[in-house]
Amino acid sequence: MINNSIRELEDNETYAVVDTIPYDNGTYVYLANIRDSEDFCVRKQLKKESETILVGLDNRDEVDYALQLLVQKNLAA
Amino acid sequence: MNNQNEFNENMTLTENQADSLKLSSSMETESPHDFNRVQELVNQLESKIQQINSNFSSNIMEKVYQKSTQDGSMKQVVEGEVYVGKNPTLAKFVGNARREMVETMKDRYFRSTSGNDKKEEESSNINMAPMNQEQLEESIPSLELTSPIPLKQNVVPNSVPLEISQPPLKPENIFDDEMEEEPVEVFGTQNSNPENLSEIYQDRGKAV
Repeated sequence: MINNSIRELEDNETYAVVDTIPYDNGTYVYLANIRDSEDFCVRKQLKKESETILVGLDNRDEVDYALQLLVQKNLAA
Repeated sequence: MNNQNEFNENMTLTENQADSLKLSSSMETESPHDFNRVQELVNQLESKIQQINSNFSSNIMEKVYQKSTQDGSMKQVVEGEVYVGKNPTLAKFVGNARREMVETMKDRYFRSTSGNDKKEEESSNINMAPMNQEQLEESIPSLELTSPIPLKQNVVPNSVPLEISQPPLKPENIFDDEMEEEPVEVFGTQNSNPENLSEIYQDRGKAV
């Protein structure tokens, strides 16, 4: 059974999905390394035809934007 | 991990400095010279701590940027959709990790966390979000001018051209006949003569 609350990324480390925030074109997925929570990153989940893919963000500005969304969401909560 | 080690080393340094601070403060601190020395050490400590914090934060950010930005190897096919873990152990980790992420990012994106500054920054950050064409049009309906209005139609109908009925006042016309200058009673000059004071008060009493 696939557990989509954790993902193994290209560095062969296991990351837990910490949060997900939908935006215009898909959903930002925030991941933290389960062995070192200071090691975290952001990916985006996109739907292309019948396929759902997890890809990197376009540039640093998009990373900033995604992280701002995370901070805003969690400070407001 | 390297960051953590670096941080620990730097913290050890600051602890050493703190020891020297204790030593110097236990000495005769009453003289201005010692006080200045303590103040200098405190300033050094503060700047060191600030430097460590900013280095620590920028190192983390650099890794986040590198791990998050587009790269062909990052593409993964997902079966179903990713979700936040509900398993109790994982949920606890996720909660802590999320809190850490927010704490790390908070200072970066929200310099001040109190009062109006925060609200101003929040509103400016909200404005930074990219808007699509529909959102743009909804937010500024007044700019939806599909056909430009000719300049002539822009004039208010039945408008009366402004006329200057009277010539502008010259300095010598400012005090005309209707505006007679009233003598100003300056209390404290000629009337303040002690001999005149009683008369002035009597006159005023009659007037009231």
